[in-house]
Amino acid sequence: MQPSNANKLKPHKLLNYFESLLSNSLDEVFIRRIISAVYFSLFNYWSIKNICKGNKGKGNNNDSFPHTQFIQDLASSGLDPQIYFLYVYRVAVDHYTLNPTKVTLTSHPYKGRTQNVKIDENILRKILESAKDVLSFLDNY
Amino acid sequence: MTENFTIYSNLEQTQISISSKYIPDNITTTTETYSNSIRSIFNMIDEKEALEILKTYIDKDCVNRISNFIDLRGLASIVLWLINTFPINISSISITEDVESSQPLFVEIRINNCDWEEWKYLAKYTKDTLNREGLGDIAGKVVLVCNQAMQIS
Repeated sequence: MQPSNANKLKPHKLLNYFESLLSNSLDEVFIRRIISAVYFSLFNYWSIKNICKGNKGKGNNNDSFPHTQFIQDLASSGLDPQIYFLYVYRVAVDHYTLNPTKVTLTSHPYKGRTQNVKIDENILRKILESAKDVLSFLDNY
Repeated sequence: MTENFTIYSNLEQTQISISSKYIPDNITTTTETYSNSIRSIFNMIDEKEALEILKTYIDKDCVNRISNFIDLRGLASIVLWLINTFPINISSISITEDVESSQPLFVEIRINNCDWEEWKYLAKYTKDTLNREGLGDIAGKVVLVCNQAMQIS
C-alpha cells in the first residue's frame, strides 16, 4: 500500500472553484450536487488526516471511517453551526426531492424533529462559508 | 438571592448579577454550584435531578433514546450552565440520527435569540469549556442549534 498523503485529498481547490461559480444563476441540480460534493470532500479530507495520524478505520485497508465520528469530531471542537448546517443540507439535497421541504432528523419520522430547508444560492454561499471554517480546522487536525 | 455570572451579549463579555429566580426551582443551590463551571454542576446533580431538569425540554418518547446515547447528568449540566451563563432560552432537546445507518449522531439543544455569529461563539465557548473541564467525551455528542440562524434566505 502507498504511504498516505493528505495533500491528495485537500479540497481547497474544489471549494475555490465552487465559490467562483456563485452568482452564475446556478440551477437547482448544480446547487444540490455542489452541496453534496462539499460535504463529502470534507469527509474524505478528515478521513485521510486520520490515516496520517495512525488511526485505523474499517475494511481490509483500515481506510473506511464512520461519518458519525466525523460529525462528532467537529462538534467536539465547537464547529456546531458549520457541521449542523452542512449535515442538514447534505441530507436534504441527497435524500429529499421537493424544494423547499422539511428534513426529518431521526429514524422515527412520526416522532422526529424536522428542519425547514430551502435549497438556493444563498444557502450554497453559507455552505461554502461553513466549509471553509471546517477546512481551517482540518488543516491543523 | 443573587449570583454573579458572566454574560455574553452581542459577543461582549459583561459581569452582571442574575436573580436566583432564573435558577430552576427543583435544583438545590449553593453559591459554589453556580460558579462558571459545568463540572461543578455535574458533580452536584444526580441522575434523578438530571432527568427532572431535562423533562422540561425533552419529549418523553425521546428520553430513553437520549439516555442510551449520552450521560444525562452531563447533558443536564450543560443545559443549566447555558441558561445561567448566556441570555438565551432553550426551546427543546432532541436526538438526531443518521438517515442512512439510523445510528445516533448527536443530541440537539435548540436555542433561541441568537444570530449566526453568536451561535458560532456560543458553540465554541461551550465546547472549549467542556474540553477544559474534562468533559470532552460529551462535547462531541451535543450540538447547539440556533433556531433563528437556521432560517436563511
